Amino acid sequence: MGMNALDINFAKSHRRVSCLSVAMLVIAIGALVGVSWSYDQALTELQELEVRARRLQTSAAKSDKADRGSQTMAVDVLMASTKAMAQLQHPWGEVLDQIAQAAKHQRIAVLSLDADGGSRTVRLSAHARDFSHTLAFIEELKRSRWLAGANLIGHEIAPALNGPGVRFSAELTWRPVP
Amino acid sequence: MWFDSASVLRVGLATDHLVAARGPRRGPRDMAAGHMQAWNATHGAGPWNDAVRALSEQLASKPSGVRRVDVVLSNRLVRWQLLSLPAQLASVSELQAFARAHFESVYGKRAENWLCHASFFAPGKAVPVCAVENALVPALQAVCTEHGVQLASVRPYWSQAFNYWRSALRDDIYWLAQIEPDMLTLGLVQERQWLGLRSIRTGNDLHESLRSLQAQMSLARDTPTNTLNEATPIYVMGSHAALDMHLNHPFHVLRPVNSVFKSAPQWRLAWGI
Repeated sequence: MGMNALDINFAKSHRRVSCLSVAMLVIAIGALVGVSWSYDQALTELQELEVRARRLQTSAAKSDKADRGSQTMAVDVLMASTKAMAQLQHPWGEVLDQIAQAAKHQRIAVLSLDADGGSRTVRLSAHARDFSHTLAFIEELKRSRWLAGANLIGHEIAPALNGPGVRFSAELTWRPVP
Repeated sequence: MWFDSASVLRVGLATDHLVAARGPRRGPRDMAAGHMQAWNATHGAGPWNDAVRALSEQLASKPSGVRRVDVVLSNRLVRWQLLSLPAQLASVSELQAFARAHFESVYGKRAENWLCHASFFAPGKAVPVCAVENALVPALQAVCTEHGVQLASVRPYWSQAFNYWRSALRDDIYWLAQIEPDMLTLGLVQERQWLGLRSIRTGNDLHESLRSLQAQMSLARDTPTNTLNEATPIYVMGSHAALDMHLNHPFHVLRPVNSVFKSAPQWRLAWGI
């Protein structure tokens, strides 16, 4: 730290305030008030903008949520309708016709049918006079244009009242609708 | 208020000459920027009358655009005393009364009309106090008013120059001399405290005057200082042409950077350098 400055000015008490000084002081005060007012206005505007931005953000979040909900619902509906449409487009009638014709040709008595549209399969159990008729029934179904496959799952000898017989079960897979 | 350097007239006033110039704070740009007027000093009442008259003439012929005048007073126009202010002093007005009483005890009745200013208010410490004749400042004010310019400041050369150079004064103890054409002012500083401050009229032998003043101040000093000896540095400032001579240790001449001051050392008075 240095020494104290020697502050001596004999004219200090004689210094007068000039008109220019007063004018500049007034201008400076005016400018200060103007700047202060502008700053205040800008601050208010900023606050309003912030509030508006916050509101917009909130409503955007809400609508986004709603959109997402409705989108989910729409997908569900679409999937359900697609499923329904797909189910409607299954060739049930043709498959049943094929099964009925093959059963008539080979003297097969169909006991039960269990269809699954999702996996496009039909499980059936039936009764035949003998095993050769069972195989002929399966082979005829394999040739059907509506079926992609026909497999014998199991069989057993099951005599009927009017003679010998074979009870069997088969799984059929139909072709997807083009 | 802001003034450009061209609107400020810097005036150095002594009892026998006036220097006036315009220019930036570090000094004038060239020799054409200044004016010097000399006269034979009159001894009698109001040795500053000729100086005020010269200022009036200078302002009457002033170049256009001067709005403010800064005056620096030579040590011939002021008196310095180093006063140990009592710790009981509680206000500036008490300090003024104490200083005036001290000046009266040294200079007698004529000091009754002197205006005293302390460099700073520090009760319990030694403070340089300056006095000028009461009528000088109003006379300068009247001249400036008459010519439509503002008298912005009236400062002693010693305090102005000390303020300018004080950052270069870093020794624990040193002498500080200010040399004017016929005046020598000497201060002694130790550990940033003023130990002494005196002025004398100088004759032809500046070194003899300096040794004499050093001896007086060493004897008068209240605080004994073991470190004060021949090797104690002596910083030299002022407006005397002798400052441009080569001085050996322990002298350290404080030279302004502006080369104009080298060719016209008297202008340093106007700038208070």
